[in-house]
Amino acid sequence: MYLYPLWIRFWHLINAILFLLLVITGFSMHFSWEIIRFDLGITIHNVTGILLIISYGLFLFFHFLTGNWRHYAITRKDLTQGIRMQIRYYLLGVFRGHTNPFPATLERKFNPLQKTTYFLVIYLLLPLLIITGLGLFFPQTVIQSLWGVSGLHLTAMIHTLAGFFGILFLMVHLYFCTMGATAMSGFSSIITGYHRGD
Amino acid sequence: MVHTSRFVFILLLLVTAVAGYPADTPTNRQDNQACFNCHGKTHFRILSPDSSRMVLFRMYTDLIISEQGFYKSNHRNFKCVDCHSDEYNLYPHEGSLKFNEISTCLDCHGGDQKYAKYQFEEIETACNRSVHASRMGKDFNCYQCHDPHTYKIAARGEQEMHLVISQGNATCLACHNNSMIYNTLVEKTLPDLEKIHEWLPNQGDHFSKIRCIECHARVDQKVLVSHEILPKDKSVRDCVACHSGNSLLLQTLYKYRSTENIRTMGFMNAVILNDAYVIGANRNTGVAIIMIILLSSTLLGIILHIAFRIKRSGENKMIHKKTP
Ligand code: HEC
Ligand code: HEC
Ligand code: HEC
Ligand code: HEC
Ligand code: HEC
Ligand code: HEC
Ligand code: HEC
Ligand code: HEM
Repeated sequence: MYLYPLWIRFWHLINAILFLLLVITGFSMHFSWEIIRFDLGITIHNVTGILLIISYGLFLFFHFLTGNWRHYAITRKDLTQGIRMQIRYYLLGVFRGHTNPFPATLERKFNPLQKTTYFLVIYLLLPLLIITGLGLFFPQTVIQSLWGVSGLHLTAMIHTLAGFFGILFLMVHLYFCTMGATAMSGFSSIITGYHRGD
Repeated sequence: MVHTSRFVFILLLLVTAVAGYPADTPTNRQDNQACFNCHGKTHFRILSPDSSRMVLFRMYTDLIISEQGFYKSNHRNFKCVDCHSDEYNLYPHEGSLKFNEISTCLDCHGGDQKYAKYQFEEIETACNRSVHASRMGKDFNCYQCHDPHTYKIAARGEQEMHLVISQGNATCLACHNNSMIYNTLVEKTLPDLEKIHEWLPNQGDHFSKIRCIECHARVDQKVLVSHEILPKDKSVRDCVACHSGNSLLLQTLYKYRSTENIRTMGFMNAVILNDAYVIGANRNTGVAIIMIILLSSTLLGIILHIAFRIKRSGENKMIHKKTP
C-alpha cells in the first residue's frame, strides 16, 4: 500500500536530520556541555533552525495542497473512543495477539493515537519551537517583560521546554515505528513509501 | 515651665538643622556657582580690565564641566576650591596654577577606614600592573578613567543594570572610540573596535549586556571591580566563560548583586535572571529535572514494553513448535 508519497518522504528525511542536529546543538549549548564548540554550536543551530522553518513551510504548503491534512483531522469519536482503544491495544492487545483496531488504509493513514500526536507536533510543537526560536534570533522583537518576568527569559524557557517535548515525541515516535508488521517495516515504509499491513 | 520651653527650643533647633541640611543636597552650590558661571557653559561674559565693557568669550569644550553631572557625583558636596587652588577665584587665572599638583584618589582615600570596603590600595596595585600603566606609566592615572567631577559609583549602587553597563563602557569608549583623546597618549592609529570584535556574534547585544572589563580585566576575587586590564592576547575569547552555569559574570558584573542576594535571600542563580538571557547560564533546574524524569520514565516504559514483546514472541514460537 503506497502511503507516503515522495514529497512526504523527502520532507521527513530532511526534517529528521535537521531536528536531530537542532537537538544535539541545542542541548550542547543549553547545558554548556560543549559536545560541539559553543560558537560552532550556535552557528549550526541557527542555520539548521532556519532550514527547518523553510522545510516546515514547504511541508504545510504540500500538506494542504495535496489534502494530506485530512489524515490529521481529529474527530470527536477519535477522542472519546479511538485513543482509548488504541492505547488498550498497545498495552494489552498486542500481547494477547489481538489485531490493530485501526489498521492503516489509504483513507485512514493514521490510527487515532498517531493522528493526535502528529496533530500536536505539526500544529502546536513545531510552530511553538519556530516562533520562540525566531524570538531568540531577533531578541529586539520580544516583548520586554510579561508579568514582571523578562520576556526573553520566558521565550527561552518555552523554547527549551518545547525542545524537551520534541525529544519525548521522538522517543515515542521511534518506538511506535517498530510496532508495524515487523520491527523494521515501519522504517522501510517512510523510505520506500510502501506500507505493509499489520 | 522653664524645662518645656528649653525642650521646645532644642526641638526647633533640631528641626531646622534637619530641614536646613537634607541628607542628599549638595552643600556648596553657592560657592561653586562662580566657577560654573564660566565652566558650566559654552560661553561667558566678563568685564574688561578697564571696566569699560562686557566681553563675550567662548569656553574651551575640554574645560566645560557638567553641572548636573557634578551634583550627582560622589564628590558633589565638594567646593571646586577644595581640590583646586582658591586662586582660581580670580580671572584671568594665574598661569602658574597649571602646575599645582592636585590630590590623587589615594591621597584622600588611601588608608581611610571609612572607605576600606572600596579597597583603594588593591585597586591602585592592580592599576599599576595593567597594560595602560605598563605602557604609558604615570601619564595613565586614575583620572584618565574617573572624571573627578562626574564619577559616580555604579556597580555598587542601586542603579539598573543597563546603566551600570553603559557607564562602564563609556569609560573605555571615551578613549577607544575617540582618536583625539587616544592620540594624546600614544601616536598610533586607533584600532576599530567593531572590526577587532568581529568574531563576537550579536556584538550590539553583547556590548549592551556586558562591560569591556568583563573580558579585558583579570578576574579578581578581592575587589568588586577588577582594575587590572590585561594585554589583548589575554582577553576572554572563550564563549563558555560566560555561557555556562558557573558564568564568569557572577564574579564580575553581577558580583555585587549576587553577594547581596546570597546575603539576603541565600541564592544566586536568579541574579542574572532579570537583566539578560545568557544561553547556558540561565538554566532552570526545576524544568530540567521534571523533563529528565519524564524522559526517563518514558524510556523505562518503552523498555518494559519491549521486554513484554520479546517474552510474548518467545511464547509464540513455542506454540508454533508444538503445532506443526
Ligand atoms: C570668568 C570665567 C571663569 C571663571 C569665573 C573661572 N574660570 Fe577657570 N578658566 C576659565 C578659562 C577661560 C580657562 C581657560 C584657561 C585660561 O584662560 O586661563 C579656565 C581654566 C581653568 C582651569 C584649567 C587650567 C589649566 O589650563 O590647567 C581650571 C582648573 C579652572 N579654570 C578652575 C576654575 C575654578 C575652580 C573656578 C572657580 C573658583 C574657575 N576656574 C573660575 C574661565 C573661568
Ligand atoms: C575631587 C577633587 C576635584 C573637585 C571637587 C573639582 N575638581 Fe576640577 N579637577 C580635578 C582634577 C584631579 C583635575 C585634573 C584632571 C586630569 O588630570 O585629567 C581637574 C581638572 C579641572 C579642570 C581642567 C579640565 C579637565 O577636566 O581636565 C577644570 C576646568 C576644573 N577641574 C574645574 C573644576 C570646577 C569648576 C570644579 C567645581 C565645580 C572642580 N573642578 C572641582 C579635581 C577636582
Ligand atoms: C580631595 C580629596 C579627595 C579626592 C582627590 C578624591 N576623593 Fe573621593 N571622596 C572624598 C570625600 C571627602 C568623600 C566623601 C564625600 C561625601 O560623603 O559627601 C569622597 C567620596 C568618594 C566615594 C563615595 C563614597 C561613598 O561611600 O559614597 C567614592 C567612590 C570616591 N570618593 C572615589 C574617589 C575616586 C575614584 C577618586 C579619584 C578618581 C577620588 N575619590 C578622589 C575625598 C576625595
Ligand atoms: C581603565 C580605566 C580605569 C582606571 C585607570 C581606573 N578605574 Fe576605577 N573603575 C573603572 C571602572 C570602569 C569602574 C566601574 C564603575 C563602577 O562600577 O563604579 C571603576 C570603579 C572604581 C571604584 C568603585 C569600586 C567599588 O567597589 O564600587 C573605585 C573605588 C575605583 N574605581 C577607584 C580607582 C582608583 C583609585 C584608580 C587609580 C588607582 C582607578 N579606579 C583607576 C575604570 C578605571
Ligand atoms: C585615557 C584613554 C584610555 C582609556 C579611558 C582606556 N584606554 Fe585602553 N588604551 C588606551 C591607549 C592609548 C592604548 C594603547 C596603548 C599602546 O598600545 O601602547 C590602550 C590599550 C588598550 C588595550 C590593548 C592592549 C594591547 O594588548 O594592545 C586594551 C585591551 C584596552 N586598552 C582596554 C581598555 C579598557 C577595557 C578600558 C576601560 C576600562 C580602557 N582601555 C580605557 C587608552 C585608554
Ligand atoms: C566578549 C569579550 C570582549 C568584550 C565584551 C570586549 N572585548 Fe575587546 N577584545 C576581546 C578580545 C578576545 C580581544 C583580542 C582580539 C584579537 O587579538 O584578535 C580584544 C581586543 C581589544 C583591543 C585591542 C585592539 C588592538 O588590536 O590593539 C581593545 C583596545 C579592546 N578590545 C577594547 C575593548 C573595549 C573598549 C570594549 C568595550 C566597549 C571591549 N573591548 C569589549 C574581547 C572582548
Ligand atoms: C563576557 C561574557 C560573554 C562572553 C565571553 C560571550 N558572551 Fe554571548 N552573551 C553574553 C550575555 C550577557 C548575553 C545576553 C545578551 C542579551 O540578554 O541580549 C549573551 C548573548 C549571546 C547570544 C544571544 C544573543 C541575543 O541577542 O540574545 C549569543 C548567540 C551569544 N551570546 C553567543 C556568544 C558566542 C558565540 C560567544 C563566543 C565567541 C560569546 N557569546 C561570548 C555574555 C557573553
Ligand atoms: C530520526 C528519526 C525519525 C524516524 C526514524 C522517523 C520515522 C518515521 C516513520 C517510520 C514514519 C511512518 C510511520 C507512521 O506514519 O507513523 C514517520 C512518519 C512521520 N514522522 Fe517521523 N521519524 C523520525 C523523526 C521525526 C521527527 C523529528 C518528526 C517531527 C518533528 C517526525 C514527524 C513525523 C510525521 C508528522 C509523520 C507522518 C507523516 C505523514 O505521513 O504525514 N518524524 N516517521
